[in-house]
Amino acid sequence: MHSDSNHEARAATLLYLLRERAAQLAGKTAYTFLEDGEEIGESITYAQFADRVLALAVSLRGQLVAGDRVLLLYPACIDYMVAFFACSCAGIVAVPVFPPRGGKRNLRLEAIARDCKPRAALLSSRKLLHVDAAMAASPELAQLQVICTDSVPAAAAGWVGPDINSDTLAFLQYTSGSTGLPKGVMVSHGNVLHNEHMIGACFESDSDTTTVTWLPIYHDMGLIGNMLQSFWLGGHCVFMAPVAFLQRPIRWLRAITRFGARVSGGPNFSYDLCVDRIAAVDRQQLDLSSWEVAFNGAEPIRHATLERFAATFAPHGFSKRAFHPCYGMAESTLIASGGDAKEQPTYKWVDKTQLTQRRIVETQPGIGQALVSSGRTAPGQLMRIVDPATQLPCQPGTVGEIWLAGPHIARGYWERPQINTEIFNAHVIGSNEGPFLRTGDLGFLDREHLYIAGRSKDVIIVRGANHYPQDIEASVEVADPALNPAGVAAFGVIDDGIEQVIVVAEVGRSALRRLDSKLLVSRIRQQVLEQRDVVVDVVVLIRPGTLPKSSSGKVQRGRCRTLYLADQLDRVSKDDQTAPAAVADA
Amino acid sequence: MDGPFDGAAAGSALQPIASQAAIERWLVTQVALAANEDPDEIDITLPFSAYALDSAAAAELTAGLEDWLGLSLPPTLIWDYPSIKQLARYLKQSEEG
Repeated sequence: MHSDSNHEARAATLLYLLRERAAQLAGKTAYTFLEDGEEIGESITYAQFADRVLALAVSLRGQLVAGDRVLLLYPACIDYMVAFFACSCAGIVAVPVFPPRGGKRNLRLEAIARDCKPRAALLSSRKLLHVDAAMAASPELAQLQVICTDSVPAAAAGWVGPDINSDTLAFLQYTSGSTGLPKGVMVSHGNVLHNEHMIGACFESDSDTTTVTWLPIYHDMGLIGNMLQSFWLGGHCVFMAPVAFLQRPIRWLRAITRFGARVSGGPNFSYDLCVDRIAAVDRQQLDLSSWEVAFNGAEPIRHATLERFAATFAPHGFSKRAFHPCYGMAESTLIASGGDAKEQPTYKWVDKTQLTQRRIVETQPGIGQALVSSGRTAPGQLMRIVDPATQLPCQPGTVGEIWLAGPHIARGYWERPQINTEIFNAHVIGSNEGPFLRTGDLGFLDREHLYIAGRSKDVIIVRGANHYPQDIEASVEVADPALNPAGVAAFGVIDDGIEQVIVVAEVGRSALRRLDSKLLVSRIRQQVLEQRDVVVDVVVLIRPGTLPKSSSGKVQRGRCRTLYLADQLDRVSKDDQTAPAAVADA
Repeated sequence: MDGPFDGAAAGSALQPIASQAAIERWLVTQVALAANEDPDEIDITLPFSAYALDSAAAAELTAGLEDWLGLSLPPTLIWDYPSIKQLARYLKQSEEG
């Protein structure tokens, strides 16, 4: 199949890809959706898929103008993929979003709509979500044209399609930035196709590859790494909703067994979930010998997780060689580095304290911190480790910021010209290489293997999802009048790869006397969970006026974190959800 | 495998019908475990989010309920019945269903 790879790299657009696959693989199943992660709910062949896409594309062109943004409001289903392809093939900019749930306002959806000013929202009445309340809740959403994509007349034969090319914007990936100010990565047809080629090369996949996925299909790993990758390969992709996996993790591994999947994966926590929640008796029915690529990305990869999973499932056909640690981001479309095919993951043991100072000091295996390599740089990409302050290249083995260049790097965020110049147009001093993307992640290269060593950007990652301190702080500030709204700090603390969310909040002076700290802590947790969908692990209430701030009054998160770790905050109470016994004391 | 939501192994036709009070007690125990709280402190009218049950923990809870009650439940059930009291009432009605 690799003789096709040059040809595929030249395929300029998703429309071209769609037509090629429909012609070459008409009767082959492209997608199978598993209802509740178990029963086959719907499946579709390449030819049927192309027909539905083209029919919808014609219809959309009749109602919308090239370059219009369109929100996709579907749960996990084949209709969603049809809509995604139809938009991008019609020169319309798809904006996949996490579907709203419950009858509540969805702050993120509103912020995305404010940012990209969509013309319409697509949905299916067969797969209706609780969209009405969420849409009615804000002016930006209420004025959208809602287009139901259930029944579309068959496409007129001989539709030529709009004038799109590899530089045409295909979709916006909203994974960056806080909920208040989300940033939409502009991904072109060329970006996607180049990155699909890179993923296929990293995984050594071909059209015989079957993929199984439970990942959210709205962005990066799920959409690009699984749904589009499989289509690009000409393979078969079996998918289920993420909650079906969370309800019963065995569904993931059972699907791999049933369909003989070669490629499947998820963030680090999902491997731990399988070990913790699948009963030994249920493991007996599994056969994971077809699983050659178990990718692991989106959050720090833990040595202990890989070892535990491999040990637990080796008797059921799983090989440690299947592990493919990966690294990437929306700004690079998806993949930036991937583990060696057919090799076991590479580890490095380093001194923990030196690592926090950005120095790599190797220790004996088993002592200190185990780092898992995220693999080699993806083919066709330029990767440099650069000092973020001086913009000079770092020596090999030294920690610096990871910079990336290549045809898969997006050209920038939607309507953010200043940030784009800063982030997407960086140059290494002393060379004429560039422009580079500044990833904001810290790492080092050791014998061509990339190791992630931290982040220079202020993001907290929980279960593979990004959370921004300013979002959490905004929720805490309005959680209860007993709090001082100008006295909140949120940050993450990583211990052996597991990230905890910490909130430190000043109690207001007048509330101090009659304080019910337990109730206050509960209100804080509830507010953050409902608005940001993330659990706060530790809540520390502190005395008024004691949160570290700069001379201009800005909260100093870093300093606060240092004080927290040294247990030097002026505490009123500390509530640690993760401690063996609930603690609430002064 | 011993997560906080281990229910009894799924039985068959011999499954006893649980009373609403028993369902509430079961939920109180599980939520207390997940939230690291004393069961006596759990308020059954408060939303699950007050006890920091996120979507992963909520999905796991529904799996335990399925096993115990012999019902088939969507993993998103808690979004529609967001307190112990409301959920127990719904489940009792489903049992009688």
